[in-house]
Amino acid sequence: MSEKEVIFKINNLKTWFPITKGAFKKVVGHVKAVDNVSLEVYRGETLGIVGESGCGKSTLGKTVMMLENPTDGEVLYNYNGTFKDVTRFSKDEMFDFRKKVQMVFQDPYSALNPQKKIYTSFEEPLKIHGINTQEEREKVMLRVLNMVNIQPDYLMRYPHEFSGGQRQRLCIARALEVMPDVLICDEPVSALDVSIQAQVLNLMKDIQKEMNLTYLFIAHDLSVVQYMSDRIVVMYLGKIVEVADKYGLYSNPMHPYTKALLSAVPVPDIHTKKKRQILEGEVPSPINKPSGCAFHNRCPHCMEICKKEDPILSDKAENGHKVACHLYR
Amino acid sequence: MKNNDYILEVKNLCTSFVSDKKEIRIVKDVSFNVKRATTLAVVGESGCGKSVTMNSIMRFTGKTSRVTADYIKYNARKNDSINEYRLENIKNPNCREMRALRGPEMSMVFQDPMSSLNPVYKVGDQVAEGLIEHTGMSKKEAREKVLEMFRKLGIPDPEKRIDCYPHQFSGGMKQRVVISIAMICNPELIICDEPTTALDVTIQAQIMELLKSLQINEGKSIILITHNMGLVAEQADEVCVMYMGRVVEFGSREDIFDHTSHPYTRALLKSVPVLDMKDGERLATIPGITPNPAQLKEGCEFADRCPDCKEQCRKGTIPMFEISAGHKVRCLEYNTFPEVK
Amino acid sequence: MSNSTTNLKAQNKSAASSLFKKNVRKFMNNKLAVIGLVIIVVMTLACIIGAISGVDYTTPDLKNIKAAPGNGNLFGTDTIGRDLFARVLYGGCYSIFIGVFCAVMSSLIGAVLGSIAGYMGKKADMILVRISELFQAFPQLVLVMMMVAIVNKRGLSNLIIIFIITGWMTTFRMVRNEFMSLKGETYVKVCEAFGMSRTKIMFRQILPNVMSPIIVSTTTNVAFFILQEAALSFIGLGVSDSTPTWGNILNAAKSISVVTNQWWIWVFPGLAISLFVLAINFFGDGLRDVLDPKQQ
Repeated sequence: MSEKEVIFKINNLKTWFPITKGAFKKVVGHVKAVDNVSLEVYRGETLGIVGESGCGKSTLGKTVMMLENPTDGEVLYNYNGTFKDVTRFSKDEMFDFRKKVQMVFQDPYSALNPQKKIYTSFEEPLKIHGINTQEEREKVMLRVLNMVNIQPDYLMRYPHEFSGGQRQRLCIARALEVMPDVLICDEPVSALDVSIQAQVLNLMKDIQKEMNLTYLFIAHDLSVVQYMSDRIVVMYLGKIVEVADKYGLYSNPMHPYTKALLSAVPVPDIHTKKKRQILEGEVPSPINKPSGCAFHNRCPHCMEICKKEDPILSDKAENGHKVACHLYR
Repeated sequence: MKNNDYILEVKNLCTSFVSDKKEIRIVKDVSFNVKRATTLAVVGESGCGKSVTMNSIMRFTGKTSRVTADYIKYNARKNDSINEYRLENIKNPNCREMRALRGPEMSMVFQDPMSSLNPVYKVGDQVAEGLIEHTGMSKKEAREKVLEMFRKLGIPDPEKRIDCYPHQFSGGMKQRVVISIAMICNPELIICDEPTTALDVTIQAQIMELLKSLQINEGKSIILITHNMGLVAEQADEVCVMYMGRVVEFGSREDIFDHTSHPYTRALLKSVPVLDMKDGERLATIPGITPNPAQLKEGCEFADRCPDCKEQCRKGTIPMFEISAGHKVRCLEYNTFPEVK
Repeated sequence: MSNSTTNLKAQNKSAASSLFKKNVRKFMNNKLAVIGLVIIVVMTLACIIGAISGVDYTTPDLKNIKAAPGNGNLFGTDTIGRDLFARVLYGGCYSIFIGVFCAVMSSLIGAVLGSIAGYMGKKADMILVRISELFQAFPQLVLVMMMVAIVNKRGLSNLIIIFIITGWMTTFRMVRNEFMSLKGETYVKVCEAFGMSRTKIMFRQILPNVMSPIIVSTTTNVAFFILQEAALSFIGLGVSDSTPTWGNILNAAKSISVVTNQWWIWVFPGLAISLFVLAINFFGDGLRDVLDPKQQ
């Protein structure tokens, strides 16, 4: 593990959204979408982030991208060995950072401006990032289109003429135009049909190999994340409950929430009889989280200490398998 | 009596929509039967016509559509005798006869629980509405019934929750309320149109458990529309795979998963990532894109994306072949087997 | 690499699909809208040609006061014997100009301010919304009187200024609301992720998507301003008497005797106004159907 180079380091990141009330916008509370998250991302790996809706996984992605302002904490990015804090970047540094880290969004149907031809949508990012001649821009455009297997003459059409899968491929191509090192993928296939999902997932794997990209792969579908990722982070209510490499997570899930999540995934095979562990209740609102461990009111192994004390994420098994649970003390 | 076995029998159902003065056929010659007290899963990608099929049976398709069928028989069971309804003969989709069927006999659960409930009414009143409409029960009695239903469906603290508004419910609870609306008149057949697509996996597991218990403990028949092969494997007794408006494969759960026969079903099963995939194993992909229903060519709809497409696949209409009892496939690969009319 | 350039450019023509052509075809299917457009074009052209060819609208013909239509005066003559047909043509130029110019200018202001308020949100939004409410609270009539009092004369410029500063709020609100919902769209986030500047995102990315409702509201505003001008001129607060507008011509029909006895003096300018406004509304409805699929 030591030869792996850290590309991103997230330290105690918090993204809280204020809830205001009344005419004077008095802050009455916070939605703690991302609450004290620390992570390391290695160059060239795919880090999967899973969790149910409202667990803050998308917000985490957007905060790393600086599309949301963090409330506290730091995001360190590796510039040739020296780590710089992205949250304190000036305007120019931020502009440069945009070339290093790009994002693919969930909804390919609204990710392309409906009023603009694909050509224009593709040209704009290149223009603002200083590729001034048309020939050079078109060279880049042809290169990225080639990567996602889309014919160049499609460039002159409008987005509504494409199917969801094609649009998502176009979005990936556009993000690759600026030659990023990191691609944050926010539920890139959840809006697509099952038969199209596989196309896009395989394509993303190929591109990663070709460009030595680092992926932050955010999804709610455990089997998709499992297929794509090297390591997986499980989030619950804004916190990381378990980090492990994918084999460790699948063969030896430690946190009760991870266990429940894994057992809830339906398996398209009628012969595997598995023990279903059905969780009681629903995800509490992130506005007033339960005290102590956020999961304690749904946890089948809840103990007294869980109601009082928030467990700390720490190494509990080999290969950097970390869990935040009082069961493993 | 033979009628007793099936609750719903559909033969050659066709639905087309008129748009821009062109008639586009969305559902083509769909036939299937639902056995009493079983779950039929209808699988397919978006745009394959699975929702339209169910809406055609319930006659929800609206004015721009045309629904024809050899027959759509609904066999209601009343005190050991069978009452046969012929849904295809009902002219006006909002006539009294149809309305009397919706609710007490067959009802539907829609995909999006967020928009299935009216935000300005209390959930209890919304559930009771159907009951009062169909039985003329008093409000007080209805309320008791609703409370009973909420308890049965596992809505915690029903006395308090019955007077809440939909926005005070979470997604999973809302879907339970929607199911209780569908269940309140005690229907025999429940059609669930992607009931858990908008929900999280742990909530999906809860809802699916609930549906299964309704089938087993109360003898309800369920049609489950989904695109998730995993749910099919766990829930269904019989499976109906649809592609571009046609049933391409129909059979029992074992037929579909152990003796997968149609190339589309095979591709569908292989292209979904599963949890225990080996390192370096790649997903199989279905090449190409789902065709536009307005620009379909002659022959098999799947021909352009099929790995074993032959010349005769592109001619005429492909018939169904019965390759074992109850297992039907619409593919010329099996043309040695008897054809199903 | 110039080869590939010509390649892509050439394909621009062959493979490109045009939204414009499709919209034109859709518009042509709407009979009422086409009729509206034809009426608008014919009337505008007639007015402009009339004005350019220099019809005589000023010289009173004292022998022919209040003459009925016919006899060399197509629409008859007014209370001091001026040819009504010439006055309606000439007045049309002014009326249409006021309508179009005010509508375009107020839409422009509304669109720019609405974009800023909607996209920036927070303080900028609050301030701009308060300002718009302030303007909305002022009765137009009082403002016109104020202007007349300040500049001490009635005139075209007064009217135009008043119309513009009191007319931008509807467009402003509409654009602001559209922006509020559109700024959540993913393509805006994509542009932000590429580090695009705010002004570029506002005016180059989001605004084109709001253009159709703006165009539609501009057309209906043209009709609105023409009617406003007619109303103000009728009560004598509009343009000075020397410049004829449709409303100004109607002004002559303030006395009961004219209304009852010389019907042509008010019927023809009145007809011109109604016809034009009706045509614009038909046209605007047609445009809405073509450009805004949500309202269908």
